Amino acid sequence: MIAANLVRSRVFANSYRDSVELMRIAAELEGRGGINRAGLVMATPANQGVLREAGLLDATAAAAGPNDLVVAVAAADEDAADGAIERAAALLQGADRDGARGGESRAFVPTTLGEAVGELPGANVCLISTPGTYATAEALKALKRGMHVFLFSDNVPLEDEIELKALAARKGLLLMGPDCGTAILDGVPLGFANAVRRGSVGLIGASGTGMQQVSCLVDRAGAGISQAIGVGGRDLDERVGGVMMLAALARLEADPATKVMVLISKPPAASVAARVLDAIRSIGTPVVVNFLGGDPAAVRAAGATPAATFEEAALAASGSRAAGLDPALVEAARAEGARLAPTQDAVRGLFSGGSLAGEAKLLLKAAHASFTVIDLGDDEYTVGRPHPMIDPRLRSEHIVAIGDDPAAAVLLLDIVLGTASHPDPAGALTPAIAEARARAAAAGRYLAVVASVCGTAADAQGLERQEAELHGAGAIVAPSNAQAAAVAATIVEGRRA
Amino acid sequence: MVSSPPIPATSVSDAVAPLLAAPHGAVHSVFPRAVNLAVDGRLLTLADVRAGRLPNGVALEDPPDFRALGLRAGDRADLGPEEIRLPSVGLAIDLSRARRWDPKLAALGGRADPGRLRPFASLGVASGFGPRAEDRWRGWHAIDALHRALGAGDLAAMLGAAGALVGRGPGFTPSGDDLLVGFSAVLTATGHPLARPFARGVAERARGATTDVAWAYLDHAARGEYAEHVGAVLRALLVGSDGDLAIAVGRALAWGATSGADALTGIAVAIGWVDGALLEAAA
Repeated sequence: MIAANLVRSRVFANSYRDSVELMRIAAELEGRGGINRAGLVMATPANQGVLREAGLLDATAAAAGPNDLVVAVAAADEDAADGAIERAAALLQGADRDGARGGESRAFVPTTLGEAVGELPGANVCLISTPGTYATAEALKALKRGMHVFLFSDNVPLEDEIELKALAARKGLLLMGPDCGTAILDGVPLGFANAVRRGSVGLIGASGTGMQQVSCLVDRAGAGISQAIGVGGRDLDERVGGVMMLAALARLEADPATKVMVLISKPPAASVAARVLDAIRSIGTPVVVNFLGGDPAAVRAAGATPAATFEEAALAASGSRAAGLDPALVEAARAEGARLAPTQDAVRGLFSGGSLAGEAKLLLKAAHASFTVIDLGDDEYTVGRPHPMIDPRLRSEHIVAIGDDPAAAVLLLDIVLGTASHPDPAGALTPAIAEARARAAAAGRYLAVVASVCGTAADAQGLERQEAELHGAGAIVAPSNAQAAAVAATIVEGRRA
Repeated sequence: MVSSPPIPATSVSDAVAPLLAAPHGAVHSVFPRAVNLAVDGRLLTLADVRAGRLPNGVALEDPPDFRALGLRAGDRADLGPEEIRLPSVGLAIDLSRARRWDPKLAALGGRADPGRLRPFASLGVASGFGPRAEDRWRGWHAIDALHRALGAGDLAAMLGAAGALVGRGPGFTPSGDDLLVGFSAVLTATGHPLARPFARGVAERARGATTDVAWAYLDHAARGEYAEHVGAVLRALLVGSDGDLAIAVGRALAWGATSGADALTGIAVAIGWVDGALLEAAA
């Protein structure tokens, strides 16, 4: 951990910024090397008290008044402190320049669909991200206006989903969602999506991070994405009937840019899987199917190519051959395994992507490894919190705790880049990784760390930079989630009693 | 010298109309689509009408980006019943067709069905005390104390809890202040006997303890005056339909970065008591 031995602050007199902007800047400062804590607040007595409790109140901040904005940091050294404060000043100045902040400025955001369409009359896709309670009404309005809907909202009742999708199907529209995490439509990313090149592979998925993983690996294999259509995690539930996956299949079949399709889902209901496979039989475009844990024989019988992992799906769709686990990774894994204490036999997966967690579980189970895999993006962990792909703090807490787990041999992580994700997800986790390893070392144990980065070089976070951060933290970095799971399994191979 | 065409004002709050008689004021703070003027020790806000009407506001039709124009804190403002002039940037606000608007929130009575609090369930996330804030900003212990004190009808305890929220949290109107505005709006709208003493006590405690902008809203709340988006939520909750409530909550959430969510959280905390239902979302 970084010692909080130096506190610095700067006052921006009579400076007013909105809360989200201030919290975002504070989070960015805390992600910088050498910065332990950061706070950006109006210097009211209450906030000064909070700064004091946090060890962030120096004489400068204490002398500020309630209309002054204070930027305060606790840093390891002078350079880190000065750099962070300069960065904050630049960000605040940038907010001034682009005029995008200031509370009242939000008044310019349209508050109804009607206003939005008034601003952009040709719009044919509506992205809805309201609390679930209101999402149905907004989606109905959009569908009635003849717009496709990307429904990011969760907590939409199943009955509403059925009704919305029935209406969309009748009108020949797509209802992507609810709880739809990702889509790339005509090259435009919606929700969580990666900067992938355009190409001939069409994705349809009931699995957000699964689609991200496939799209990134397709990009890495040199191919590209024509369209990526998310259909919502419940689309292949028996009661919904896969109605949007079928609608998306028909759309991509008619899309001249799409030369091959990939279908991705968690295990679908048997009747729905049968319906989807029936539909595949009647289309001419080659289809790769990755229904996690699904039956490859049924897929083959439908004339499609089964893929057991997201990586296999991406490679099959790109016309590349699966090369298997890199021998260098196997060697590295065995070397890590040799450093473990006798008590250490378990893989501890801490995931931000639900589909990536699901894939890792399947692979670890197949390898007969002892493991626990937690999807920190699950509702159980996100009540009252942002998704871990946005805010890494909850995962950091869990990572540190792994350092005290005597059975933990491998910490297995996914890092998801792209739009809406944290600006430096790997960098945000490395202090926690270091702390976990330090705790394990203090107890006489070695903790191996294995990760994969779901992203591309063109993502804002930078694939190489993220992988370098992980290498710097002593992690083995695998090129895919499936390979990361395989490396983790290799490390603990033969250790299970 | 005023050189641009005048910006039409659509409404002027009754609460600040008398300030227009002062010949001069000074620019207090500048945002892209809003300007606060300091006039006789109070704040007058010139803001885009699409933000909704404010208790201290003059609502403007399609204002320019004041920051981009170079308007600065300290610049002079010339006031009058027909026009406000900002000579440093050559702007005039035409008040001649502005309607007067009364920001006083009537005591509506009525009770909200606890089930109608469901739309508020995720507000804790959007609030400035939510998870995007550092743990240290979370004022939930003070919010819980406020909730309990209201349940006990203990004004001193309510003011004690409110004191811990004044000026607390992120943003230029700290989240605690926004929450207190929402909370006191519920007391006002339901005709609670502690409504006025509570709001006045909060405003007294907040003077000098929070930002000028936040204090202005608390000061208006002490006079029973609230922003249009806050009043609309209360009317929908107490005497309106579910559709009214959905629209009102949506509009309130669009207010500011977290200010709308903070005010709604305050409403939810108070309504939770009004209906005898504990508010899970605030836990």
